[in-house]
Amino acid sequence: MELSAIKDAFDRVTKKQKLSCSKTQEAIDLIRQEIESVLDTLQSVNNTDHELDYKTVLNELKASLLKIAPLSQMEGTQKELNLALTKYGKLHEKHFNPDISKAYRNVDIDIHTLNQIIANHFYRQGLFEIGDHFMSVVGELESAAIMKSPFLEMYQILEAMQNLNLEPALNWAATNGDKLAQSGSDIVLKLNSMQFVKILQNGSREEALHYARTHLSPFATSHMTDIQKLMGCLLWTGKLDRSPYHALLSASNWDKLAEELKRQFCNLLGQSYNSPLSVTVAAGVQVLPPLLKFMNVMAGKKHEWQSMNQLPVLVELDREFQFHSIFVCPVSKEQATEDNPPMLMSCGHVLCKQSILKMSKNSTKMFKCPYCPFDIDAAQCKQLYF
Amino acid sequence: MDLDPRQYENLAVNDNDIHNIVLSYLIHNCYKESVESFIACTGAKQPTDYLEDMDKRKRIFHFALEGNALKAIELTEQLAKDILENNKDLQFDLLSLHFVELVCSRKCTEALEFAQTKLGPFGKEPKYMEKLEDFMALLAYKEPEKSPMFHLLSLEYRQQVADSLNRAILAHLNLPSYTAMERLIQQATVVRQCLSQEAGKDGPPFSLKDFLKS
Repeated sequence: MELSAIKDAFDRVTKKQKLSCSKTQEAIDLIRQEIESVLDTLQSVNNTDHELDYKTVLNELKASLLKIAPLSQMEGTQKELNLALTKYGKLHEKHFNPDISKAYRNVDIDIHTLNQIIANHFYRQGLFEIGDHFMSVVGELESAAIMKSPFLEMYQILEAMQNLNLEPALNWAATNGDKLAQSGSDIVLKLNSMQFVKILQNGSREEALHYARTHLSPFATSHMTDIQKLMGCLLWTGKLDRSPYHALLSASNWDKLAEELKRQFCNLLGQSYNSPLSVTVAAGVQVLPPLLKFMNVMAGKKHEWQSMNQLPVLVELDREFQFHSIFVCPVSKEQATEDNPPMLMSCGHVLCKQSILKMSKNSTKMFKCPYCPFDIDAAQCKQLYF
Repeated sequence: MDLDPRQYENLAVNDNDIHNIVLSYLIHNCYKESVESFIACTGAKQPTDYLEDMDKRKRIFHFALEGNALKAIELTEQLAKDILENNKDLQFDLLSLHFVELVCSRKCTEALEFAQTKLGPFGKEPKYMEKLEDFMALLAYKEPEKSPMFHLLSLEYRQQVADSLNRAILAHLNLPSYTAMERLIQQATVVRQCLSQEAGKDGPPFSLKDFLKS
């Protein structure tokens, strides 16, 4: 979303407001000066025996105040401020549409699933009390415990890591070592490396060596470069901060490791790193503006949009939100669906099922691949799964 | 295929030159008994002070080859105090030989102590960092012989360090670091390779091994 226009408008308002404020203050100061001057005059006369025409003094004051003309001075700047404020309001309305109802579909939502998604979000954020309270309010407290327990363990590990205690994390890694290795994760090495560095920093060289030979040696062949660096650290026991390896002591390493642990933990649970709710909201924020814009243009055709099978406009989503491959048939130019899946032909090219059926006259005859000289038998085509 | 002998058979080679070449090779490699036999047989001129220095060099060379680097260092410093002071690379290689010996003897705590006190100071220079990491990585293995750095435990590696030390001592004694024999063979090999290329032969490049067999 382009926010610079709003920022500029806001800056203009603040500028005008400051100007108006200073002009008002200026006028007030001048008025105060005039009044104080008259008061001084009156006071000095009271202290002497001189006669004074009060009426004349007050008339002079009135004339001075008219000359200052505070209202006309303030009026101009106030008008400019009001104008800037009005423009800002309009710009705000233009950019931030408060009514998003035009851009959503009336979809039947399973409330139970929605509650589960919300509770899951709370639990994986570590907001256990809120999650429990929410689940009790919606009357689903029984399923809360099952959903919560793995994340409780995760946050206990993360909390310990915040206190520079890796024991719970190492125990978890040891228990799940095989699964982690299968998924290609090297977090076991990272955790053991961090523990090794911690031991070294405490100045215990023999303990560090023993730890390395017990816990790091299994990685010595697969991660040789890492092990070489770590073993090199032994030369700087107790003074690692002044060594070529001082980067290993950076606090950011703990943060990165905690992130990685969170990622791997969720992976073992068969869940994505980000909660479905946060992904949905983040993706929604990205697609709402173009949809709203489109719906404003197509204001009269709401019913048509409600019944469409796909979005009426191409909406670009960032790579992080692209979870599934999409196949568009090069012959029919249509997107593949469950009923019309992509099919791999014997030559290696891919078309949609409908196109193959059409070209093979319902699988009754051979046909030529549109991309190469191969003759294709529809019966030999295999469905592709992305 | 060999070069036409007519191109070189008329070149006169002085026997004395050949004797000197062989003698310098034997002295360089500390083959003391062979040197004495050779001088006795050929009546070649005996180089001055060579025996005493050769004895010392031989002992140093063998200590290095056996992995007893500390003894090699001690004797080297007796022979020429400033050799190792002026040659940090050689000093590092010798100290690392001792470290390897400790690792092979499974004296890991001692090896670590030695590395920290003697090898550690080299770590301040980036060029030694990589080597240091290689050596230190040996400690991660219960059987360093089976580690990817096993070559550091090999006889070939010790031979390499012993050779470097021997050459450094020879240079210090104002003797050639490389024997005339080595240089002649190297030069001859290069010349033959160049001639082969110029002749545009399709066959394999000149090989000294094959030539000596023929």
